Amino acid sequence: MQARSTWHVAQSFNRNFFGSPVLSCGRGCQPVMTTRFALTILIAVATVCAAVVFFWTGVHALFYAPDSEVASSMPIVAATSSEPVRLIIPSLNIDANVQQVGITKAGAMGTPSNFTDVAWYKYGPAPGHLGSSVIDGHVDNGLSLAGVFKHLVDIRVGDDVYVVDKVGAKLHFVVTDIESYPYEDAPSQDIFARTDKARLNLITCEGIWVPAGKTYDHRLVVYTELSAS
Amino acid sequence: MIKKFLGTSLVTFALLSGVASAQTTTASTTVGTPNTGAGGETSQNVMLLATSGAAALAGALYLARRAKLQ
Repeated sequence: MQARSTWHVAQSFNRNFFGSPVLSCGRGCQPVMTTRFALTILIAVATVCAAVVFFWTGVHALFYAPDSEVASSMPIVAATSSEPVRLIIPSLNIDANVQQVGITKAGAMGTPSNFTDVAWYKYGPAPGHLGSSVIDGHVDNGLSLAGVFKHLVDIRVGDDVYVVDKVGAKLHFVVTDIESYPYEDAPSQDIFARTDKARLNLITCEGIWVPAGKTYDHRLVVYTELSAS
Repeated sequence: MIKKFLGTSLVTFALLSGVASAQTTTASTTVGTPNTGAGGETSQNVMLLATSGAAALAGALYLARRAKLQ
Protein backbone atom coordinates (compact mmCIF):
# COMPACT_ATOMS: atom_id res chain seq x y z
CA MET A 1 0.00 0.00 0.00
CA GLN A 2 2.79 2.34 0.96
CA ALA A 3 4.72 1.56 -2.23
CA ARG A 4 1.66 2.18 -4.43
CA SER A 5 0.94 5.51 -2.78
CA THR A 6 4.48 6.69 -3.41
CA TRP A 7 4.20 5.67 -7.07
CA HIS A 8 1.05 7.75 -7.52
CA VAL A 9 2.60 10.81 -5.92
CA ALA A 10 5.67 10.54 -8.11
CA GLN A 11 3.67 9.96 -11.28
CA SER A 12 1.38 12.87 -10.53
CA PHE A 13 4.35 15.17 -9.95
CA ASN A 14 5.98 14.21 -13.19
CA ARG A 15 2.84 14.52 -15.23
CA ASN A 16 2.10 17.95 -13.89
CA PHE A 17 5.50 19.42 -14.46
CA PHE A 18 7.32 17.51 -17.15
CA GLY A 19 4.74 16.14 -19.55
CA SER A 20 4.32 12.46 -20.18
CA PRO A 21 4.99 9.99 -17.36
CA VAL A 22 8.66 9.72 -16.69
CA LEU A 23 8.55 6.74 -14.42
CA SER A 24 9.57 3.30 -15.40
CA CYS A 25 7.65 1.32 -12.87
CA GLY A 26 8.92 -2.08 -12.56
CA ARG A 27 9.00 -3.73 -9.20
CA GLY A 28 10.89 -0.89 -7.56
CA CYS A 29 9.17 2.03 -9.32
CA GLN A 30 12.50 3.79 -10.02
CA PRO A 31 12.14 7.18 -11.79
CA VAL A 32 13.97 7.41 -15.10
CA MET A 33 14.41 10.65 -17.04
CA THR A 34 12.87 10.40 -20.49
CA THR A 35 14.03 12.08 -23.65
CA ARG A 36 11.03 14.38 -23.58
CA PHE A 37 11.83 15.50 -20.07
CA ALA A 38 15.43 16.26 -21.05
CA LEU A 39 14.22 18.14 -24.12
CA THR A 40 11.85 20.21 -22.02
CA ILE A 41 14.61 21.15 -19.60
CA LEU A 42 16.91 22.00 -22.52
CA ILE A 43 14.29 24.23 -24.11
CA ALA A 44 13.58 25.92 -20.80
CA VAL A 45 17.27 26.73 -20.33
CA ALA A 46 17.60 27.93 -23.93
CA THR A 47 14.51 30.10 -23.52
CA VAL A 48 15.91 31.75 -20.41
CA CYS A 49 19.27 32.34 -22.16
CA ALA A 50 17.55 33.84 -25.21
CA ALA A 51 15.45 36.10 -22.98
CA VAL A 52 18.58 37.29 -21.16
CA VAL A 53 20.37 38.04 -24.46
CA PHE A 54 17.28 39.87 -25.75
CA PHE A 55 16.99 41.97 -22.59
CA TRP A 56 20.75 42.68 -22.39
CA THR A 57 21.01 43.69 -26.04
CA GLY A 58 17.91 45.85 -25.88
CA VAL A 59 19.01 47.71 -22.76
CA HIS A 60 22.54 48.31 -24.07
CA ALA A 61 21.35 49.40 -27.50
CA LEU A 62 18.67 51.74 -26.21
CA PHE A 63 19.56 53.02 -22.76
CA TYR A 64 22.86 52.02 -21.25
CA ALA A 65 26.29 52.68 -22.73
CA PRO A 66 28.93 52.22 -20.06
CA ASP A 67 32.47 53.14 -21.01
CA SER A 68 35.19 51.28 -19.14
CA GLU A 69 37.47 53.87 -17.61
CA VAL A 70 40.86 53.42 -16.00
CA ALA A 71 42.03 54.97 -12.77
CA SER A 72 44.21 58.00 -13.37
CA SER A 73 46.74 59.70 -11.16
CA MET A 74 45.87 63.03 -12.75
CA PRO A 75 44.53 65.49 -10.21
CA ILE A 76 40.97 66.74 -10.31
CA VAL A 77 41.54 70.48 -10.48
CA ALA A 78 37.94 71.68 -10.31
CA ALA A 79 36.38 72.61 -6.99
CA THR A 80 33.41 70.45 -6.05
CA SER A 81 31.11 73.46 -5.97
CA SER A 82 32.03 74.33 -9.58
CA GLU A 83 31.12 70.94 -10.99
CA PRO A 84 28.51 71.22 -13.75
CA VAL A 85 25.18 69.49 -13.24
CA ARG A 86 23.14 70.62 -16.26
CA LEU A 87 23.85 71.68 -19.82
CA ILE A 88 21.26 73.82 -21.57
CA ILE A 89 21.29 74.76 -25.27
CA PRO A 90 18.04 76.60 -26.01
CA SER A 91 18.45 76.64 -29.81
CA LEU A 92 18.62 72.82 -29.88
CA ASN A 93 16.11 72.19 -27.08
CA ILE A 94 18.78 70.45 -25.05
CA ASP A 95 18.49 70.39 -21.25
CA ALA A 96 20.63 67.49 -20.13
CA ASN A 97 22.02 66.08 -16.93
CA VAL A 98 25.83 66.24 -16.72
CA GLN A 99 27.78 63.17 -15.65
CA GLN A 100 31.49 63.13 -14.84
CA VAL A 101 33.97 61.01 -16.79
CA GLY A 102 37.69 60.34 -16.87
CA ILE A 103 39.86 58.44 -19.31
CA THR A 104 39.18 55.14 -21.05
CA LYS A 105 41.61 52.27 -21.50
CA ALA A 106 42.32 53.60 -24.97
CA GLY A 107 43.40 56.94 -23.54
CA ALA A 108 40.32 58.81 -24.73
CA MET A 109 37.87 60.91 -22.82
CA GLY A 110 35.07 58.79 -21.33
CA THR A 111 31.46 59.05 -22.41
CA PRO A 112 28.16 59.25 -20.52
CA SER A 113 26.66 55.94 -19.44
CA ASN A 114 23.45 56.58 -21.35
CA PHE A 115 22.30 58.35 -24.50
CA THR A 116 20.37 61.21 -22.89
CA ASP A 117 22.98 62.67 -20.52
CA VAL A 118 26.18 64.50 -21.38
CA ALA A 119 29.51 64.08 -19.60
CA TRP A 120 32.07 66.54 -18.33
CA TYR A 121 35.80 65.67 -18.43
CA LYS A 122 36.57 65.81 -14.73
CA TYR A 123 40.38 66.12 -15.06
CA GLY A 124 40.03 69.44 -16.85
CA PRO A 125 38.81 72.77 -15.51
CA ALA A 126 35.16 73.24 -14.59
CA PRO A 127 33.07 75.39 -16.92
CA GLY A 128 33.58 79.07 -16.17
CA HIS A 129 37.17 78.65 -15.04
CA LEU A 130 40.25 79.57 -17.05
CA GLY A 131 41.06 76.81 -19.52
CA SER A 132 39.20 74.35 -21.73
CA SER A 133 36.35 72.56 -20.07
CA VAL A 134 35.03 69.71 -22.22
CA ILE A 135 31.61 68.09 -22.35
CA ASP A 136 30.71 65.21 -24.66
CA GLY A 137 27.48 63.43 -25.56
CA HIS A 138 26.29 60.60 -27.79
CA VAL A 139 25.03 61.31 -31.28
CA ASP A 140 22.94 58.12 -31.46
CA ASN A 141 22.30 54.83 -29.71
CA GLY A 142 22.74 51.20 -30.75
CA LEU A 143 19.55 51.27 -32.78
CA SER A 144 20.40 54.56 -34.55
CA LEU A 145 17.88 56.52 -32.51
CA ALA A 146 18.84 60.08 -31.61
CA GLY A 147 21.27 60.70 -28.79
CA VAL A 148 21.48 63.94 -26.82
CA PHE A 149 23.88 65.54 -29.33
CA LYS A 150 22.15 64.26 -32.48
CA HIS A 151 21.44 67.79 -33.61
CA LEU A 152 24.60 69.44 -32.32
CA VAL A 153 25.62 69.80 -35.95
CA ASP A 154 22.79 72.34 -36.34
CA ILE A 155 24.22 74.76 -33.78
CA ARG A 156 25.45 78.09 -35.13
CA VAL A 157 28.17 80.54 -34.17
CA GLY A 158 26.64 83.02 -31.75
CA ASP A 159 24.20 80.54 -30.19
CA ASP A 160 23.92 80.47 -26.41
CA VAL A 161 25.01 77.59 -24.21
CA TYR A 162 24.34 77.53 -20.47
CA VAL A 163 25.85 75.41 -17.73
CA VAL A 164 24.37 75.15 -14.25
CA ASP A 165 26.87 74.23 -11.57
CA LYS A 166 26.45 72.44 -8.28
CA VAL A 167 25.58 75.57 -6.31
CA GLY A 168 22.99 76.65 -8.88
CA ALA A 169 24.99 79.32 -10.69
CA LYS A 170 24.10 79.60 -14.37
CA LEU A 171 27.06 80.29 -16.65
CA HIS A 172 26.52 81.73 -20.10
CA PHE A 173 28.71 80.67 -23.02
CA VAL A 174 28.56 81.74 -26.66
CA VAL A 175 29.50 79.54 -29.61
CA THR A 176 32.61 80.92 -31.33
CA ASP A 177 33.61 78.15 -33.71
CA ILE A 178 32.42 74.79 -35.04
CA GLU A 179 34.89 72.27 -36.45
CA SER A 180 34.88 68.69 -37.70
CA TYR A 181 38.02 66.57 -37.43
CA PRO A 182 39.01 63.04 -38.49
CA TYR A 183 38.78 61.00 -35.30
CA GLU A 184 42.42 59.94 -35.41
CA ASP A 185 43.63 63.46 -36.08
CA ALA A 186 41.63 65.70 -33.77
CA PRO A 187 43.76 68.46 -32.20
CA SER A 188 43.76 67.36 -28.59
CA GLN A 189 45.70 70.44 -27.55
CA ASP A 190 43.06 72.80 -28.96
CA ILE A 191 40.17 70.86 -27.53
CA PHE A 192 41.46 70.09 -24.04
CA ALA A 193 44.35 72.35 -23.22
CA ARG A 194 43.94 75.96 -24.33
CA THR A 195 44.31 78.14 -21.28
CA ASP A 196 43.87 81.67 -22.60
CA LYS A 197 40.16 82.02 -21.77
CA ALA A 198 37.33 80.30 -19.95
CA ARG A 199 36.20 77.92 -22.65
CA LEU A 200 33.61 75.18 -22.92
CA ASN A 201 34.01 72.72 -25.78
CA LEU A 202 31.27 70.29 -26.79
CA ILE A 203 32.12 67.06 -28.63
CA THR A 204 30.18 64.38 -30.40
CA CYS A 205 30.66 61.94 -33.28
CA GLU A 206 29.73 62.41 -36.90
CA GLY A 207 30.59 61.03 -40.30
CA ILE A 208 30.71 57.44 -41.50
CA TRP A 209 30.84 54.38 -39.26
CA VAL A 210 34.20 52.60 -39.19
CA PRO A 211 33.48 48.95 -38.34
CA ALA A 212 37.08 48.13 -37.45
CA GLY A 213 37.26 50.93 -34.91
CA LYS A 214 33.60 50.65 -33.89
CA THR A 215 33.31 54.41 -34.14
CA TYR A 216 32.42 57.21 -36.53
CA ASP A 217 35.23 58.66 -38.60
CA HIS A 218 34.85 62.30 -37.50
CA ARG A 219 34.41 64.32 -34.35
CA LEU A 220 32.32 67.47 -34.27
CA VAL A 221 33.70 70.05 -31.85
CA VAL A 222 31.77 73.16 -30.86
CA TYR A 223 33.97 75.79 -29.26
CA THR A 224 32.36 78.25 -26.88
CA GLU A 225 33.63 81.03 -24.63
CA LEU A 226 32.31 82.40 -21.38
CA SER A 227 30.21 85.46 -21.98
CA ALA A 228 30.53 88.53 -19.81
CA SER A 229 26.76 88.90 -19.68
CA MET B 1 50.98 35.37 -24.33
CA ILE B 2 54.05 37.35 -25.38
CA LYS B 3 51.92 39.53 -27.63
CA LYS B 4 49.52 40.19 -24.77
CA PHE B 5 52.40 41.06 -22.45
CA LEU B 6 53.96 43.39 -25.00
CA GLY B 7 50.58 45.00 -25.69
CA THR B 8 49.94 45.55 -21.98
CA SER B 9 53.43 46.95 -21.49
CA LEU B 10 53.04 49.36 -24.39
CA VAL B 11 49.66 50.57 -23.15
CA THR B 12 51.06 51.00 -19.64
CA PHE B 13 54.07 52.88 -21.00
CA ALA B 14 51.84 55.07 -23.15
CA LEU B 15 49.58 55.87 -20.21
CA LEU B 16 52.50 56.56 -17.88
CA SER B 17 54.25 58.79 -20.37
CA GLY B 18 50.96 60.57 -20.98
CA VAL B 19 50.46 61.16 -17.29
CA ALA B 20 54.05 62.34 -16.88
CA SER B 21 53.62 64.70 -19.79
CA ALA B 22 50.34 65.95 -18.41
CA GLN B 23 51.86 66.67 -15.03
CA THR B 24 54.54 68.84 -16.55
CA THR B 25 52.22 70.79 -18.82
CA THR B 26 48.50 70.70 -18.15
CA ALA B 27 46.17 68.10 -16.78
CA SER B 28 44.70 66.98 -20.06
CA THR B 29 46.93 67.45 -23.09
CA THR B 30 47.17 63.78 -24.00
CA VAL B 31 43.50 62.88 -23.93
CA GLY B 32 41.98 61.42 -27.06
CA THR B 33 38.56 62.38 -28.35
CA PRO B 34 35.65 60.30 -27.04
CA ASN B 35 33.73 57.63 -28.91
CA THR B 36 30.24 59.06 -28.76
CA GLY B 37 28.22 57.01 -31.19
CA ALA B 38 26.82 53.51 -31.47
CA GLY B 39 24.62 53.75 -34.52
CA GLY B 40 26.91 51.64 -36.66
CA GLU B 41 26.04 48.60 -34.60
CA THR B 42 22.35 48.88 -35.43
CA SER B 43 22.19 45.97 -37.88
CA GLN B 44 24.08 43.71 -35.50
CA ASN B 45 21.84 44.70 -32.58
CA VAL B 46 18.65 44.29 -34.62
CA MET B 47 19.74 40.84 -35.75
CA LEU B 48 20.59 39.83 -32.19
CA LEU B 49 17.30 41.19 -30.87
CA ALA B 50 15.29 39.43 -33.57
CA THR B 51 17.06 36.09 -33.14
CA SER B 52 17.00 36.04 -29.35
CA GLY B 53 13.46 37.40 -29.24
CA ALA B 54 12.20 34.74 -31.63
CA ALA B 55 14.01 32.01 -29.72
CA ALA B 56 12.64 33.20 -26.38
CA LEU B 57 9.13 33.46 -27.78
CA ALA B 58 9.24 30.04 -29.41
CA GLY B 59 10.62 28.47 -26.24
CA ALA B 60 8.01 30.14 -24.07
CA LEU B 61 5.23 28.99 -26.39
CA TYR B 62 6.53 25.43 -26.37
CA LEU B 63 6.75 25.36 -22.58
CA ALA B 64 3.30 26.89 -22.23
CA ARG B 65 1.88 24.30 -24.61
CA ARG B 66 3.54 21.47 -22.71
CA ALA B 67 2.16 22.74 -19.43
CA LYS B 68 -1.31 23.12 -20.92
CA LEU B 69 -1.29 19.60 -22.33
CA GLN B 70 -0.53 18.18 -18.92
